[in-house]
Amino acid sequence: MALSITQFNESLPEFNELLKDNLCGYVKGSCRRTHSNPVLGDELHIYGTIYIQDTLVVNFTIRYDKFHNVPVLYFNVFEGLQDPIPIQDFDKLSRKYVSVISEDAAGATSLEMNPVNNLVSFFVHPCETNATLSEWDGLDAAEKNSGIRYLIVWFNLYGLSRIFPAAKFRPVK
Amino acid sequence: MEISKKLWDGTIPLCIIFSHEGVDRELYLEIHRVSYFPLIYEKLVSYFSHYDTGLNIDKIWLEFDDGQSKVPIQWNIPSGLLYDLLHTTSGNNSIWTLRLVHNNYPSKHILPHANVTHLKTTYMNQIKQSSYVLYGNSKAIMSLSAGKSEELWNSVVKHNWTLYEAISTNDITKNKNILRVPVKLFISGSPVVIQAPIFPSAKNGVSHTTLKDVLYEHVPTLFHGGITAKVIVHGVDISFLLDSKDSPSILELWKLFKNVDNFLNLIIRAPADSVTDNYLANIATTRIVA
Repeated sequence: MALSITQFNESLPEFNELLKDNLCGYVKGSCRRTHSNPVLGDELHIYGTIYIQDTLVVNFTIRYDKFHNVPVLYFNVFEGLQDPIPIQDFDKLSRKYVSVISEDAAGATSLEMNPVNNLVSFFVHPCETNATLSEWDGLDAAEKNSGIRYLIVWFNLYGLSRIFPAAKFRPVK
Repeated sequence: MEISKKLWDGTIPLCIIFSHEGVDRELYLEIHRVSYFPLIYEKLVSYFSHYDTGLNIDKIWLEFDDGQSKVPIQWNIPSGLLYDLLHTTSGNNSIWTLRLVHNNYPSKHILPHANVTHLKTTYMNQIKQSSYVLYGNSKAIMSLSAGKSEELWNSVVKHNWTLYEAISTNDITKNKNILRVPVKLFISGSPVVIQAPIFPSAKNGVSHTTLKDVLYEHVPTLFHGGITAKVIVHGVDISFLLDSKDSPSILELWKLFKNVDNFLNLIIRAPADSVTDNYLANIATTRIVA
């Protein structure tokens, strides 16, 4: 199971709509697709916001990593809705919000520059993504060639659900 | 002297200013192009501690004033690349003045913990990533013994060409088939960095992929329609290769000009109004609204 940048770009508008529908209980803001500058040529990305337990704000970016040939997730977390405080210490985040953060999320995450907005962001390592998705046996042969199905599986394994398990994708087939 | 060794020996001139109690103190020094700023932080703290004993190496950063705003220096990017991106934009090869700051770390805009330990982690992640692009996996780095891995890092820290070249040649790249060439395109005057994994052979499977092929595929808008962007690598303008009949392959360029993390970093310097307006507007729409 692999995803080319062409499949990623073609699937992104539909995936974005599914994302909004699936996370509707979570997403108070909107997930929206943004075209990048023509300089970037073929790159598209999704930028969205979710609110968790009325205290955490998570801004996230989904884009395609050409080096690893997989989608990647960047996110920033803010505490408090009125005067939000950015959190960059994952230990603090996971200790304080143990009920909403995946137990092993820290090992999968590091701080990197988000190339879309040039801000320091949490980043989910993509190095295992291809291997994991290739071995994924929850899809039939036709589904394995579907960009949408790939993105849904990816989102649950390496997207927001990887960090915030309740932000799960439950699409209707 | 071999080109790679000349590049390795290349330096950039710096003036570091530190302000304490209203007085600017200066330190002039040359640092290696193929290196990283945190590797001189200890020297900077040691020197400027004569004026301020409260300097903490974990809380300092360098700042560049481009005349319009103050830009925190991204310490994880090679120092020579930053010099070319931020300082020599108008062909200026003079001393680059940076300010050492130690309050209110700009943690939104540069990675935290700019010390040697974190630089090592960042470097190893980068070289694992380039290995993945080159060979389809990161085994070349992951299978290095702890000793070799440490030697590799020490060759960067101590700027030891002999050690670096030996490990790079004998332990990382030897007898390996290159699948894709790891190239990054830095668009001067903007924060844009384009990932460009390049197949060494052209689509016809016969000829080699050239620099021109790469640019036409990844930044077509900057090399068409009368725009004459320049291509800079390690401070050298290699734009003439675009029109050269004997243009070297991208693989040859990578071998000559790659950084210590095995990425080939190319700066694309285009006329200012042709690059950033739309992109920066786009950035503005995606800024965090909390």
